[in-house]
Amino acid sequence: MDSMPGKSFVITSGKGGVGKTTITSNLGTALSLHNKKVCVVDADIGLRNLDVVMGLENRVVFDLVQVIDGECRLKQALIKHKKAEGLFLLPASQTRNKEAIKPEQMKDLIVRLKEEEEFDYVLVDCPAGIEHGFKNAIAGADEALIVTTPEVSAIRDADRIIGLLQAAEMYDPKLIINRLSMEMVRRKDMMDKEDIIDILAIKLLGVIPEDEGIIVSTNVGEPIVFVDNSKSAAAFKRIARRIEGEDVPIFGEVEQEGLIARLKKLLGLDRKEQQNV
Amino acid sequence: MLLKRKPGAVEIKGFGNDIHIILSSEAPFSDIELELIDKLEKSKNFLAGTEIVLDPKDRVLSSEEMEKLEAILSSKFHLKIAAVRTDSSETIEAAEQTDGEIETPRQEEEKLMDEETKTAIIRQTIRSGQKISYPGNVLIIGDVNPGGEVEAAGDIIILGKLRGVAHAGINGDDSSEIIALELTPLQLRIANIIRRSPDSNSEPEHVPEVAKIKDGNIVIENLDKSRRGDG
Repeated sequence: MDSMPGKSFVITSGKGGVGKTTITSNLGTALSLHNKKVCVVDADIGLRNLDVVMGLENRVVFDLVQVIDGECRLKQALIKHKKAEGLFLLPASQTRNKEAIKPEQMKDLIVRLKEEEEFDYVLVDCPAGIEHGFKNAIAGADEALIVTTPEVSAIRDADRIIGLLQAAEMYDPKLIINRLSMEMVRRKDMMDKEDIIDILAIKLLGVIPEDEGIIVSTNVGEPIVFVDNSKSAAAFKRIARRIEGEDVPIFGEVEQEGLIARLKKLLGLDRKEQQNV
Repeated sequence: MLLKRKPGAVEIKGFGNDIHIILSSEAPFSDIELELIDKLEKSKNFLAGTEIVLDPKDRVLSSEEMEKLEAILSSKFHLKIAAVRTDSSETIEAAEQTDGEIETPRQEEEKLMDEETKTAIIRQTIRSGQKISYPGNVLIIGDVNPGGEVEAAGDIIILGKLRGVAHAGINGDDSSEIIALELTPLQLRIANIIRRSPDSNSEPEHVPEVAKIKDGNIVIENLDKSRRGDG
């Protein structure tokens, strides 16, 4: 391995239940499939979830707060994934609360993961909300990935988060749209990705389609990335390739350039186009 | 003897919590003295112990005259001069011997005018939870998203989409306008008038529009037509 420094991402949304934990787990898995050493960090102290979703709950002995408090070594707290080579989890504490750590401590911890443990990628699963837990989670991140679903309230919160990240001098967050149902978009019952980007005005990193398989995979604690023929798995893998620097077209861009999109453009209803004038 | 005086040499007025004593600029100083004593005598129970603002308007007071006025106010009626309002340098000099502060109304007004005609240019999208507030006009190069707010004492011009809340003329100037390339706000406020968006989701107009007050209501017009109508 060369000495290229690793990169840390915070996966954040403002609103709860939009899929931060699922995305952290699956994106971590997908990146590890590129022969990269990946650490997923659960920053939701007091409400830990990431270990459950990844099927690693029974392996948790030490946690992030104990590492910061010096009760255990960093290596001891890292849990190796049972299936994905190079994928590690740093679990949150279930018994402490978010005030147990400070942003500077979190920052030091991420630096240690990148430098001492030589992780290529550190993904931090941010708790919902904009309070202390959010400030901890973004503290050590080089970049932010904003997750939203095509719902007005989720987009509103994502917008707020983008503003708060700006205030914290993180200016170039990327967007992941989760649970987009092309069927509903076609019926005009759901906002399309163009509408969402139009409001949030940040770069789109990927779109994950609505997929019932996700519920099954999180319940059994197996990342969906390992399931073949899953449409969401394909989307996660594409996002991983984009993070790796490959030029991969956004999911659905080709597929969706169908009748409606073309008609919209013809009629001048395509707002993105107008914005660029 | 009293009848010979023209009335109106001195006016006593309340402005909020302040009592202003306003002097005529034409009446001879002796009339001012007499009328001041006369008026204070009548309302002395009511005024007892209050702080007053001496407002000579355009009248220039010499040190001597200022001394005489102060003597009447403080020695005779136990009233304290809290401030003297004047832009005349001679009066300012005379006022410096009193304990009162010196207020310069014209300079204040100019400063206010200056601020009101200033324009802040903001090159960013105003996102949910963000608020821009400025004592003059505001020009935003970017969008104002739902949950974002912009307020200005003057006009608000948005080179982008207004989807949040804009409040022009916060200090009550009802000639203020709100202009946006796409006007689909949650709420518009001009001076003290509020207009909210319609509850039904109508397709946005995609044309620059201007919101202004007409007959006590906020109306929205196509910017092009509005300009042609005016000029």
